[in-house]
Amino acid sequence: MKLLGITLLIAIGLLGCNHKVKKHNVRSAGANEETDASANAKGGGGMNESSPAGLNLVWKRYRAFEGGLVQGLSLPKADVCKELGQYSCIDKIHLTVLGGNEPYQLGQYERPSAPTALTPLAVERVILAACGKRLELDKAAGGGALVFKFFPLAGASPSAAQLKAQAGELYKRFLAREAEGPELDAVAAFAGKIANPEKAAISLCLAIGSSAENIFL
Amino acid sequence: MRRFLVGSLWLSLLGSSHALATSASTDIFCQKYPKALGCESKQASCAICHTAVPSLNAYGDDIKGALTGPIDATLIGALDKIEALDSDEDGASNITEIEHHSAPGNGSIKPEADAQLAYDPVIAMRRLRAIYCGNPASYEDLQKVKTAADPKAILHAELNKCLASPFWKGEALFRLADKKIQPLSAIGFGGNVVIADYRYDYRLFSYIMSDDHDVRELLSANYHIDESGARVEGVIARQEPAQVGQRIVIGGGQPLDPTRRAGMITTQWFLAFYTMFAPLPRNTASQTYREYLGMDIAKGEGLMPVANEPRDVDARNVKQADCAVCHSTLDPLSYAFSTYVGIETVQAFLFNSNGTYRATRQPWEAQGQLFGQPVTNLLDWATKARNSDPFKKNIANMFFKQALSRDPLPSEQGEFEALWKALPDDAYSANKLIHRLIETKAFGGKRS
Ligand code: HEC
Ligand code: HEC
Repeated sequence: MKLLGITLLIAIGLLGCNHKVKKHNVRSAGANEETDASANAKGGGGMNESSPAGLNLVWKRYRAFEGGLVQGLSLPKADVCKELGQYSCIDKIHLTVLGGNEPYQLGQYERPSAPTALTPLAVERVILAACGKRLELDKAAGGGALVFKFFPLAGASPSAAQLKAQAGELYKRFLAREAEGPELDAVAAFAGKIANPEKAAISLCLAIGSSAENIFL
Repeated sequence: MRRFLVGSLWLSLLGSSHALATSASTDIFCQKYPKALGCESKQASCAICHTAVPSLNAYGDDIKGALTGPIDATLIGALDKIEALDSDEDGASNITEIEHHSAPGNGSIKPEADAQLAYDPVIAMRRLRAIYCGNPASYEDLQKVKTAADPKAILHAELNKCLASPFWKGEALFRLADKKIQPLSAIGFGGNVVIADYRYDYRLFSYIMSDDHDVRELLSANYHIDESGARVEGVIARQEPAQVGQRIVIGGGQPLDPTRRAGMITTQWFLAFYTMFAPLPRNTASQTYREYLGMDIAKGEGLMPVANEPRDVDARNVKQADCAVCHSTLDPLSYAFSTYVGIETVQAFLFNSNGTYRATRQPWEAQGQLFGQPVTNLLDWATKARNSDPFKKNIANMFFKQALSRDPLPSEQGEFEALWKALPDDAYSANKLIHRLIETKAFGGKRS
């Protein structure tokens, strides 16, 4: 639990710093309005249909969001995220804030039209769980690691080059594109600041996975 | 629950006596500027002057300031006075915006807005995979699009795969149907009090909306789809036997005579759930008008008052002016539904009669109107409805919103219009409409 808290702090630090870079991403990814979607996703104010910001962005809703984790982290669907170890985060616990609706029992006949203030929290929880699961698998796999394979997960703090290589892999896996120079530089700046390689891996995974570009299309 | 809904609806519509007067603003404006954006339908027109009715946008505010008396009498003069102003301060005068299919009261929409967008197949690929496959495009997928000689061919091939997937047919289309069906597990199949089995409604919807079927069958299908996905003709018996006790089962299957069927609006669930015990099925008619023709009477949309209506055939006090605003349209829409049983008790237990046709149920069947035309019965009603422009627009709007979570912007009206107008050429296939949708700039546009 304590480890988790620390990891989150670090990741949030990374996120904050990454913010400028991300704004740039969203534009270069081709949003047709000049919006600060990452501020929308992170800022807690939420978006609504009347705000021109985000009008032209498409929310990657629960199933596609989940699909991105299954595919990007090569995880079985059932392993992506389970709250309390048994309820699916996506189909049950966080369904509505991730853009879905449950009509039969709950009488929700419409999905939310835009993310709410709680969406970023849910996104981070799910990503963190999925990243953690992948880390566990990669640790056990040793030399056969699939995702976290650019530095040893036990031992010395990763170097700038190793962090960049790992980040590049995660950009491809989560955001389906190459990382850009400034983005990699931002990551490299953390070399030496995160001693524990596991925490470094999780932090990168969370920061890139929860970037606005992974939530808006 | 329905009653409560309707009650709060009245409260929220205290201004309803204006509904008739306000559609006069539209008439006056659109007679003066027939080509203006928003004049293609009453529904769209309110946004010319309002943000959300009754709040005015900047253009509406300027009109209000220029009125010299009651709006109906002085609107024309006010419109002239403010033509040269730029109410929304976007650099284009009101008259320029009106003449160039733009929005004089919305600063983010300028006449040239459309020209700034260029179609980007990579954006389209990212979106279409997430929306129609529920599975985002990978790095490799996007590389393929970026390097292809004909990227659109890849998009359409990918879309074909998505639209045939279990995600699309068994999940996305189901969610698109939720608001039309409004299921409730407690009174559906397997519930505590079973009035009908709405699983048929979902399967029928998904079937009609996929595989190039004719979407007009939403209002004409006389068959159903079973759990294996096969078409079933004829009456379908209850799957669970009738029972009373801890659980009550009075409905199930599809007991309605196929010659009386009109697709989604005559399933046992639809009729039982919306009509319930009402002699005149106003909720049923209103839900059909809202969900299949895109007009929500509760919001003052689609009002087409019929002379000498409402007659108040079932003594519900709807003749008063405050109620007649809506009920002069709604009651004539409802008559054709009145020969279809909603919920019964003993009859239903014995004969599975919920949602069946009974010519003697009420005498009003042939007295109604839809779109200002007389209708002889529900099949006639449904035929007129499914061949109408509002039906086509509603289908296009459904998929547009499903994809982009919003209505078309004024600058996108041209593309939107092309979508619904192509339905007849596409043999009313939803899949073909979506293939057109992914080629729009609304879907794949990028600021250039
Ligand atoms: C050409 C501009 C214009 C259009 C189009 C228009 N309105 Fe209005 N509407 C106004 C103005 C201006 C006022 C304020 C009148 C006043 O305060 O005297 C107004 C007032 C209203 C009000 C408040 C009524 C009242 O008397 O307080 C309602 C309700 C309303 N409109 C509904 C609608 C609806 C519904 C539509 C679409 C069918 C619509 N309007 C279309 C300009 C318009
Ligand atoms: C703004 C339009 C509007 C006004 C005004 C309005 N109604 Fe309705 N009424 C509706 C609609 C729409 C429905 C169908 C329910 C639905 O779809 O929301 C309805 C349904 C009803 C029903 C059927 C309810 C049921 O459960 O079967 C009754 C009775 C009724 N209205 C009476 C009235 C009376 C009496 C008034 C005036 C005091 C009134 N309405 C004013 C739109 C309106």
